Amino acid sequence: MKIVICGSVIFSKEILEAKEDLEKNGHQVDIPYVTIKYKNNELDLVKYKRQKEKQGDIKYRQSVKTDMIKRYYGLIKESDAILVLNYDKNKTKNYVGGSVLMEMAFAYVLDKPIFLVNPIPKMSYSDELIDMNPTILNGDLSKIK
Amino acid sequence: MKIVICGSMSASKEMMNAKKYLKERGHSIEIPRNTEKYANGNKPPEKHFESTKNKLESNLIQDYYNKIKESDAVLVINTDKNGNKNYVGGNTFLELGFAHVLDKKVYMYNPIPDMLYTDELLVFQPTILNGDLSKIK
Repeated sequence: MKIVICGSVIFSKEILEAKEDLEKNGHQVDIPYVTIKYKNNELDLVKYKRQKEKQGDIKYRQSVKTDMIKRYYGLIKESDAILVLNYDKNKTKNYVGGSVLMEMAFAYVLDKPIFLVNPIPKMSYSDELIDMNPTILNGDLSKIK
Repeated sequence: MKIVICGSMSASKEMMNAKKYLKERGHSIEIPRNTEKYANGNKPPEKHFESTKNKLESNLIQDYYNKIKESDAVLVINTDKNGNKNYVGGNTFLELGFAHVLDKKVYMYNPIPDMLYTDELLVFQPTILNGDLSKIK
């Protein structure tokens, strides 16, 4: 299957691990732009995280030529499914950030299956996440068939 | 222009007013289902679970995606809600995302709120109307 991994970029290490895992099982995998930069040693993740916590990431987004949101919409359109890595972040269990919420909605309206590595978090937009009817993997990526 | 109006049901009256104003100026307008009923006070305020049930039953997200696809622009009526200034709810946020990837114009009635997804809202580069609908051309 062609799978797009979605998740907060602070989970870049986990995203790369999941990519490797899925590729071993014969899947083709796309990952976030920032994670690619991190993988290529073109981005300091600690510095990026610190800056994001202080003033958001709008400056970074404006500094790169790629519109990350449109890039992901295009990739999801061409995919068979998305995998959301919703680990704990900022004291929120199974965190799903704004961008990832949007990517899930792209998958939903494009009729692509949505896999969530952990259960749906309790957040202000839990309703919308429930609406999208994701498959919860409870940490087991081998359930993706 | 074909304009899709988005917003929380707490802004239903303002959405009805915007619809009327823009229709009078020759635009074709879509508003969320049940807006009129909410504006007339025929529906109780949205409750958490009712909201989810409504969305599931009528597949509102998909419906709005299709409407935005056919439109020229999206207008977000982001009035204050529950103490949140210029509130943009989860659904409205998603609709803005659709408008962005589908290359539609985005208008916001009030400035961008300070919320969890403020960065994404900034990426959409909406035209802020500051309450003045006549800026929509």
